[in-house]
Amino acid sequence: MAGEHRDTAVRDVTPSLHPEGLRQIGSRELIVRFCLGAAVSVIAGIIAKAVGARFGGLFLAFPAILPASLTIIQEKGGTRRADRDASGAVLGACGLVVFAVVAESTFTRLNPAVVLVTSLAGWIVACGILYSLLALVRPDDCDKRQD
Amino acid sequence: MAGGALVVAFALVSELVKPKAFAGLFASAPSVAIASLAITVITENAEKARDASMGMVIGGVAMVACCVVAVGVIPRLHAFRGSLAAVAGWMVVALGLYFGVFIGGR
Repeated sequence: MAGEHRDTAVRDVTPSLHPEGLRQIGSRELIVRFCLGAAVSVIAGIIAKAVGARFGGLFLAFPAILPASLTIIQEKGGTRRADRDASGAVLGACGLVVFAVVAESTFTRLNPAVVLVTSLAGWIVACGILYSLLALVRPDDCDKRQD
Repeated sequence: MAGGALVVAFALVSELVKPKAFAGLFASAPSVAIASLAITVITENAEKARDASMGMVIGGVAMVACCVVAVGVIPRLHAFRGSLAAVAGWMVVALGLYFGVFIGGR
């Protein structure tokens, strides 16, 4: 009976803004993320100079932020929330591949600024489609009330 | 600096939105890529940026593998150790694919 009730319950999977979330983020977390992002950018640049741009490009998709983000989320909200965040990260990573494919196929043809905007648009569209699919297939994973 | 600033910007967006699965998208945002590719174009040329994007396609595929590993191991190993296992998975997939596609394919 309880399971039947849960199956028929309406889930709230629509993304929405929650400004109060910003109050939960500490300056230490932002500094850690800033340092990791800056460090990966510098390391990717050094590797590109030393080995080649193509090999350095690998590190443009290095998961530097993921361990820090998931650990912080687990400290605040437990393993379940960290796991849900990682599920979203899978979709974001698929979008990252779309970003790179769009950039690779347009960099020598279009203005570089247009390339970066188009590639980012590709990431956003891919993420939107994949999130919609996840919400359709696994609505429990996208239910705000279970966060 | 630009890479760090964009990472922070996406982290703030991630804290601003719900549900958590949607917020997680921003953990794999192309923050470092946008900054690094822009700098490559400014200091070098679009050809080098295209080469870097080619490498990034493989890095992105490895990132998908890394996140799938994270989803699988975090409930068992907890976030920090699970994330380290996932980063190790990224290394294996990224380097394996890179050498398989670009070095072995020659």
